[in-house]
Amino acid sequence: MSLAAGTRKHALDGPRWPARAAGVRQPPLVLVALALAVAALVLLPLIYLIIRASEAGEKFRTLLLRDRTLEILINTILLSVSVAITAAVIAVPAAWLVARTDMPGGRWLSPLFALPLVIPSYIGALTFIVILGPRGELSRWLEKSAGIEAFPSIYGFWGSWLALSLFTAPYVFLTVSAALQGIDPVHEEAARSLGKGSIESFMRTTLRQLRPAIFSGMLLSALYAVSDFGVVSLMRYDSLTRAIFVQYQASFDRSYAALLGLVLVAFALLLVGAESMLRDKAVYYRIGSGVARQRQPRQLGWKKAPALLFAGVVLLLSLALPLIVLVRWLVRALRRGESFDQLLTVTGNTLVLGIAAALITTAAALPVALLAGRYRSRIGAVIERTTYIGYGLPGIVIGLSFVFLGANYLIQLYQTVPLLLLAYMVRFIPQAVGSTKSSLMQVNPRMEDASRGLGRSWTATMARITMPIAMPGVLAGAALVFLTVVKELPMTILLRPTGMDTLATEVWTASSDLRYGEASGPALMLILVSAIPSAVIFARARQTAMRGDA
Amino acid sequence: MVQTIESPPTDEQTALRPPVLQITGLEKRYRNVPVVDTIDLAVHQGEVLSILGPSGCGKTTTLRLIAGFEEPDRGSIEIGGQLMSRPGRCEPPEKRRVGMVFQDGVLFPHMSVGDNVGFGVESSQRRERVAWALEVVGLGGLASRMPYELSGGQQQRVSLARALAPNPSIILLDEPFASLDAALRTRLRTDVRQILAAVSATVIWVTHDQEEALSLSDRVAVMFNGVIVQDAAPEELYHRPVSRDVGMFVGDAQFLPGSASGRRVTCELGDLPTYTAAEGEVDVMIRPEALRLTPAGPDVVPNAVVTDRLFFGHDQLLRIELASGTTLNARLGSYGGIRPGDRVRVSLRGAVLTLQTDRESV
Repeated sequence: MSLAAGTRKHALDGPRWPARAAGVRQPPLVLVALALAVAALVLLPLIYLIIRASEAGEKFRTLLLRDRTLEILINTILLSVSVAITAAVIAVPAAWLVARTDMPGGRWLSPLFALPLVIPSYIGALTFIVILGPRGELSRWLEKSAGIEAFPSIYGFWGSWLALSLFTAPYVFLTVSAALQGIDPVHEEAARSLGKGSIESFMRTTLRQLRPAIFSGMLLSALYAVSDFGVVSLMRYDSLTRAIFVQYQASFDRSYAALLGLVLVAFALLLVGAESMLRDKAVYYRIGSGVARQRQPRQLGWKKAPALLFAGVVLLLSLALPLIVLVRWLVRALRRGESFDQLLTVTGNTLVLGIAAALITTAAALPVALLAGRYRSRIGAVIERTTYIGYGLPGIVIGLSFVFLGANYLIQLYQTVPLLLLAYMVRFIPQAVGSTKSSLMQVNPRMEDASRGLGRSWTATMARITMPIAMPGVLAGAALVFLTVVKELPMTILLRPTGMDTLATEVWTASSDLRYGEASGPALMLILVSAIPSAVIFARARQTAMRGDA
Repeated sequence: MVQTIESPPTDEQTALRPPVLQITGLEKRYRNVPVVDTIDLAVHQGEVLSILGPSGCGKTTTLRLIAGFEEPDRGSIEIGGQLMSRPGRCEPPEKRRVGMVFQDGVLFPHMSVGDNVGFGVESSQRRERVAWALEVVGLGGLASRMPYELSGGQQQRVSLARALAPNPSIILLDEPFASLDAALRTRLRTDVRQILAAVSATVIWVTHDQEEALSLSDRVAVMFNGVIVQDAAPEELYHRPVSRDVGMFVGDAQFLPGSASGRRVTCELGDLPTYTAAEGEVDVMIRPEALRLTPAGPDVVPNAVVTDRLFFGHDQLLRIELASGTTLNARLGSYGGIRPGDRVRVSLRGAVLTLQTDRESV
């Protein structure tokens, strides 16, 4: 026997029981029923699309294997891959510069790099067309001053690639920045002390740990490019979304449009699946839960100049240029006597739709999030996964499916606000479920036990303890839904009641008719409307990161 | 002001009155593995019972079964003479009048201290009960603070006040000090003991800390692998554990082989009196503090040599080696100049406990 017998002995260490944490009890039946109803609604458009496409019957195989289909699919893949790579090339250095170096203005750069998110990508694309397009300002200037006429066309692949890369880079930036906060720089410092330069140290240590976060951000960017309708339509690039819309408008046989829709969904779901697998992995790579310790930022020295140039070009293209162009148009349009008298009504429509969609989507997300976050049941997990399908259903597909459904079975609802809101709900419910669930998970289940033990029923506990504590996260989810709904384009175009215009559709119609001046008012208003909830979400995220709690 | 202060129960009273809590044949399984395996337990008015066991032994599950957060697979729980749990029929937690104090306090973060404490009280009585409960735990005047403004120790006091305020028939404490640092834990332990005694609460206290269990309870139930292996008063448990494992879990224990005959046992330390009669091969349990060391002298024939010494301050631990080469630890007060290398005579205070030799757990 050793002298260390002074320490207590745990003679028998029992086996590890399955965690008894949150949900051993059965979920209330009402909750399951509500969540099931929501899941059924989410599945509705996809199921209908499958039925519709299968009506093509014999033709199905021939249609699917047509050269045209293959060409469109290749276009789509090409665009999404190149956009994802470019977004990472822009965002990863940006995130590293902001988080780890003595880059001048670092505190301001972080929100600035995220800010292009409030500019809808199709508005960005519009400004690029005006500047870089065939009869655009830059080409005219080049022609006049240097005599260059053969300026490469912005239309097609290059324009789509440029706009989507610049406006999806913030997704990669945010994912990577968040991961960088959690990665302890000690490995990087160790590499430096072993004689490696700062860039090499970063590449060989931190970058490796960042890989899941980078891929996760790239997949988000790719998913955006695949689902995007506005940019490729304005740039006249034949990717799946545009082809579906053209097919829908041009022909009475809509089964080919439905078929292309299914191909698009399959591709998008593949990206969603890969992303969700990586996201789980990315979490494991974070060390601890606290904020990483303060450290000496890397001295950039003479490299400050190229770093600043890089940041300047990115911000000029994705932020300054679109805003300057829009303001110039606005000034010109006002001088011309444009009155923008519709703007108030249109803004009102947009706000009403956005708020109603945010409320409905959040309400629908609540039972799903409660079931998945509070009870460990198989059905809860299945329902939660089902609602995530919305991520893989591009707006054009949901819009199309509800057009078919509405025109054939729900004549009363066709082209009414309720059907439009339902479509928004299907598309954006994952955002609401995600943030509601994560804020519910931060409520200690013991807190609910304490309330029950003090004599309160389940309902009273939810109302007085769980919901109030989770409320900030739930509201952030609602704000996110609002933000995406106000700039949503394809579903709004397809499903809005005749004569009901929103800021997004105004921009769309004006720019389709090349009336850019008229687009400037609604476009700037849209950016303003998006900026307010973004500021709220950003401030909250920052607060959360700083306090390290709910 | 409502008072729950009653005179402490005498032994006669506890014997006559029905227990506040009666657990019979309770069993709980997860994925068909019993976590709580057929336990029986009774707690009387004003009694403080600890459930002591290593982590994962089922003690917290037992507490959650009592509180109604889990449903048993077999057996029953009665509180105040009313049937509360049996398989398939469970009163919900809110109907049980059970006060629970959790490991981290889990105060409601969006409510003030006063609102937390008053949460379980009817509105008509709320003000006076909140004032009373906060006074009892020594935090009168802090009602308007928010939980995040309190220290860890204060949070646990508020948590206790919140559990006491609705005047529950029984208080359950789930390792309430586990997340506090050692110094604070010791101080709060004493305070809570006094608070609970002042309101003569009936208490079940779950812990894995044997010192906490022994010093705070009237009775300790030791739980291993879902089974209560011994349910006894602290002294009884410490000096007469039912097995080597219990003996080692509640304190430092060392064992010497011996040969018993009636109430005496012969081992390397000589012929010793025992607590209970036994025959044949046994293990003799020796607590380090039961050993007495006398330095060798003219009248003292040494039988061991000191080989090592750990000085802790409040006491010290000396390692001694017997003639046969067997080593033992002896715990002595911090005074006395015995040093490594000294030759000593080892003797024992009082009687020793013998246990049936168990070849498996060596």
